[in-house]
Amino acid sequence: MCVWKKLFCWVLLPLLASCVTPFEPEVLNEPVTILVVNGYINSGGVTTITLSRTRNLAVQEPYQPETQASLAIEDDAGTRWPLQEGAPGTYVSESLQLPAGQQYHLRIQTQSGRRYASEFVPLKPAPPIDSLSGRIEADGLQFYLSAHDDVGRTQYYRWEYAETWEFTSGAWSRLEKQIGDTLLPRTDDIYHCWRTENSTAVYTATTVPLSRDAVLDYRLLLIPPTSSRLRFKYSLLVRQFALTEAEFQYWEALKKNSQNIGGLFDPLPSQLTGNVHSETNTTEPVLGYVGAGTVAEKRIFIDNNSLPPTWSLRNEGYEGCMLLDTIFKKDASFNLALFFSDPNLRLPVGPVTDRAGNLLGYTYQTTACVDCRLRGTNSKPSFWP
Amino acid sequence: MPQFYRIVILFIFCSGLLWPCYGQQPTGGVVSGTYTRVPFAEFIRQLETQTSYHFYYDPAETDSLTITATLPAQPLAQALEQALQGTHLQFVLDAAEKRVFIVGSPAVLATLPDSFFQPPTAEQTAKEPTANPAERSTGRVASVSTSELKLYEIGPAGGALASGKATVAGHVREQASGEPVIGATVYVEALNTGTSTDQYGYYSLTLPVGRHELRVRGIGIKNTRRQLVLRGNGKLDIETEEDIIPLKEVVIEAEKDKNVSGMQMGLEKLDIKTMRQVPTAFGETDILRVVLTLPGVKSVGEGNTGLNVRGGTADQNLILFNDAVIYNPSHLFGFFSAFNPDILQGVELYKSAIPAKYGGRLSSVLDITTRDGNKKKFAGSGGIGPLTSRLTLEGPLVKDKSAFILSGRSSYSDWLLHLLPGKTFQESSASFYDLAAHISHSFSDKNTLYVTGYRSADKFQLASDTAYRYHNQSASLKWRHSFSNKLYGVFTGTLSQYAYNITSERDPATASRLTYDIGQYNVLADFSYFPNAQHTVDFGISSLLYNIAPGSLKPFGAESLVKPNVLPQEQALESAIYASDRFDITPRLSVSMGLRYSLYNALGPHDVYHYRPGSSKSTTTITDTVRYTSGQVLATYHGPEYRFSTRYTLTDHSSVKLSYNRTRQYIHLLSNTVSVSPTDIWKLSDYHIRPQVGNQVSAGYYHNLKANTIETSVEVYYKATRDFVDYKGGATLLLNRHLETDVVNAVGKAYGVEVLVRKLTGKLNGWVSYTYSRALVKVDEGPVADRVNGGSYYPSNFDKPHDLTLIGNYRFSRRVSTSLNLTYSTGRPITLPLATYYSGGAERVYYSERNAYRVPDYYRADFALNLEGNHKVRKLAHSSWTLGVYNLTGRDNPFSVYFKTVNGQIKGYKLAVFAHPIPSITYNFRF
Repeated sequence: MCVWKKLFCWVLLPLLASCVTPFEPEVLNEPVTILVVNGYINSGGVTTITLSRTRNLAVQEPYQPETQASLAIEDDAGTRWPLQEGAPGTYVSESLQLPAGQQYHLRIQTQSGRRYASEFVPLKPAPPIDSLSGRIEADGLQFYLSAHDDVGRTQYYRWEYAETWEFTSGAWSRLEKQIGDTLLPRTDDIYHCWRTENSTAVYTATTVPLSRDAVLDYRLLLIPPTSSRLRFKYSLLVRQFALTEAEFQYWEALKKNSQNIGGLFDPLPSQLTGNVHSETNTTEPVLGYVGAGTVAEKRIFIDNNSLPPTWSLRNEGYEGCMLLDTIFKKDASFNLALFFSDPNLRLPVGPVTDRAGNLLGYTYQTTACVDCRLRGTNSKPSFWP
Repeated sequence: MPQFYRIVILFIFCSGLLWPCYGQQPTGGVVSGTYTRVPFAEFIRQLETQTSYHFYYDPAETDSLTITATLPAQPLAQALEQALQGTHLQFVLDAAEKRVFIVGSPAVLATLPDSFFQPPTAEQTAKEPTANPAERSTGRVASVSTSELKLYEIGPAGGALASGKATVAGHVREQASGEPVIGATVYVEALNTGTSTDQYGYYSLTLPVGRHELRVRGIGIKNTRRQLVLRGNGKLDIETEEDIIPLKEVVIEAEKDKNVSGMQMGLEKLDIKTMRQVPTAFGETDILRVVLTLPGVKSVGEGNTGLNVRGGTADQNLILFNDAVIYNPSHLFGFFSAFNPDILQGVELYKSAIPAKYGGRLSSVLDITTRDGNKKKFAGSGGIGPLTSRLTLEGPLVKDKSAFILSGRSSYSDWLLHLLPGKTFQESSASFYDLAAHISHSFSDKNTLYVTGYRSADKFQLASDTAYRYHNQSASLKWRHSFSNKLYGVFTGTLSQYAYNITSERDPATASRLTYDIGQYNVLADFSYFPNAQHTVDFGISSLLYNIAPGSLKPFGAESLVKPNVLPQEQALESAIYASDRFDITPRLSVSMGLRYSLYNALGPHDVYHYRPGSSKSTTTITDTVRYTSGQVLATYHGPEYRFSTRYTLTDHSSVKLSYNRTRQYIHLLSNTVSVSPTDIWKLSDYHIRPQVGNQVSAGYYHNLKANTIETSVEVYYKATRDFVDYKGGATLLLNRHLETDVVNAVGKAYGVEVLVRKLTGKLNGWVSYTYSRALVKVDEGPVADRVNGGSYYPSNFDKPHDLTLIGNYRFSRRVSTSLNLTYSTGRPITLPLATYYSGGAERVYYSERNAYRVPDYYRADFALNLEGNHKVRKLAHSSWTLGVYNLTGRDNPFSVYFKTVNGQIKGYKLAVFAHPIPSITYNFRF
């Protein structure tokens, strides 16, 4: 049980001079490339499916997308809705309104001619999210979610979320190097940016043991009081899915497999595959679970001025950018064209003048400290107020 | 040794009170017989059997003499006169004291014979005059110095069997405390006949009538002997003097050559003194931790007391505390065993050749016994360590008849937690305690009653969130009755309970309490019968009622939305009869044959689901539900359990042994974690879940070196088990009304060789053991998806092929001793991640086949230094200090290896529990 390990780590191990050290098992030489299917059949909109391959643990390169496959949604009567490849390995459908009462599955044929299919699943429409709120607690900002289904048909819930927050870089650059050695006022803002991150953990809940099909105050994420995400304005978008029992168990197992594994009080990891099977070779493993249904969304905003003033919010990632360096005109090596020749190395921040207003030189910082676009985007998201 | 504390030895005559007498009645001095060239000593022996007279003579003077005479029935004086005609011997008859002195000429000796003060050997029968008769009538001898030389009459004259043999039986007790001396050897050297005392200190020995010298030997007691004349069946209780050197630690040990001559194989005995010497993590003497150093015993990891004996799972061990079953023998996740060392006498672990008396578990029997308490005077002992303190009190209730012993131990670890920085620790708590009490009372020589009570409890609370509590409690009542010298019975009633609950209060809407409870009620009648010196017969009957509340989830607090979910009770009855006979066919060859037949009934009320035949059991394949009413039998399983072992002695110092045994187990521990956790559940066999069955064959070669001071042994074994429970991936075990849908039956096989070299005496003692063993599991039932690793054998979680242990103790002086413990083993198997992929917004892991890889090897060295106070016998309190260092080299042995998604990336971690040397200091005292 995972609680036992938690107990173990928190209560006992500090007493026992224990230590947790990174462990890297001997690298397995044989490459393991198994097809991975991600996505769900959206019965009320665009269905997006991505195909990729697994890679060995020690390999650092990105996942190989499975390109040029042909995909289609199919119902139990044989009606087909094809998907088209957009980005490599990403396949999208048109905006669909799939009839209820049918069962659906996904069919895949890869470029090499191997055929795969997911199991037929019923459509599970997601009920709306009743409330989503962030509450100030001693250890940070805790988000809670509530939802219910009066008919009692949902029972199994899963959530994903996307966080978006506004942030600034380490120094506000007002100057920009133009042709030659002139520095002119900067036209674009590379100081204010927005960053979006998707949830990585699996959030699931079931109301089966409860007397009502209602999720009350489900704990979603916790943002610590020092987090830079809360410096200005923060937004959380939650997507709610309704699952079948089998799909719920898949996600529970995935959660167990990736969150608490291998400890003495943890469950044994399982060779989790999902509901996609190879039709060409039945022993070939395929990873992924393709469910079907609608999704319910809700977004909230948290403004910094609603948070306790005692929270010391750091500007994470820009800790070393507090001080600016200066290049002086009087220096023998003063050559702006050469000095700012590589925009990926350093950028000018502002002029340095004496009391009389005579230009003495320019302040500058590394590009990583100045250009917020390296960590986000400087175009304001459409949903941002 | 100073004379003043030489201990008085007590003899009790029991003149065959309840014994029917065979043969002729004592004739009041009338003797008869026909003798042709009978050696003189034999002649006198025969006369002694016919009369109540004692004969005194000088063997040196008579050893070449034979008697030829035909004696009609006539008074003793006339008969002697006739028989001694023609010899140089004369006799003096003392009718008042019933003594006859036979001397050569002259009739009155001026000096005593040379051998008078020598300890007589078995061949000699020279005898000093009996001590004063008043002493004899009370059956007590005041002085120990003469008691070894004194002659004791056993049984009524002529009370022998037709075979000319009679049985002497009694207890060997320690003089100072009155506690039984277990495993002491009682033997007659001249006849090459002997026995050892059982767990009650009881012995029974069948000997030819006549003069014998009975020798008593055991470790922790002084060797002693008794001169006796056996006339008929009778009793002889022997009090032995404590060997004062080991300071009260009663050493319980079998005969010195037990390794070679004992019937048992796969039996490990440990006494508390040995256990105290083994260094442990917190200076706490821990029996389970010491048991883990024995060959053939493994556990999945450090800080875990789940025992895996010869490839068996942790639930296949019958753990008995004074005959009552203990379901969870550990405290604090298994870091401590739940028994206070001060109350313990010793522990026996049966790995193979499990006696027919024991049943119900597949792999082993761990029999933990307490001391009986001091019957003579009030005493106490205790200890103060970094995590716990303990206290034991003992003393007589009625002097020499009954004694009590009480012990308690409690942790005070909360303060340590609260010292740590961070809110989590300050709001957390972890504590445990255990209590044990034992009372023994001897109503008479034939009836003794034992009562034991035990309770251990643990409590954890994690950051004021979830609270865990669990407790064990047990009680046993045992009445031991001697029907005769050859038959005794033990009638036992026990009850055991294990329960836990988990209370979660963090969110008012989901606040709940989960509870689990198992209780068992057991009655047993065990009999031991000694028909003659060649046979030892044990038989008995037992019945056991299980009662399990398999889980209930109830709302906690008024705001809770949790729907109560209470699983129906489960109950079952397990009964067994058994008989076994140990037959010494020749002095070299002994055979022990046993048969146990067990019968199991799962009882209603219960709802049994029926599933569509041929398909995997799941909620979707239920076809019918059958309701069984209260007491109705819903499933019956039964079968024989064979227990066979044999020993053949090759030489005086070597033997070979063979054993085969079958065991059946009707209760299963369900745990889908690698190690045993306190919240695992015990499940009874039912309509769907079959009992586990195990078969084991083993063979061994045993050789003792250097006058039995060094024992060596090699044992090989092969074990096959079937129908033990394994799980489908992602099985739900808690609050599951149809567990059969989540479990699969597994088949196991285990084999190995165990080599042990042990030296238990001398300044340098200890043992080295090496084990090569494999433990494999196979799940090939049901649909392909349920099969683990495609249905082929895979290593179990505790499959560690190589295992080397050294326990070494060196005594520099009586007051200073050191211990060193070295352990090496192969790393345990682990399931490794093979590949990663992106799914659900994060990197995920694809795992290898189950247990296809191993964690790094395990190595550890521990050291302890024991400092004793001075050894004055009379002082207020005896104290000792134990200084220890656990994991001397600071090796970070992986306790576990796990993989975790951290910030969307898979990271492997190795967790070492004791990654640094851990010093400890413990103060022990007794008074």
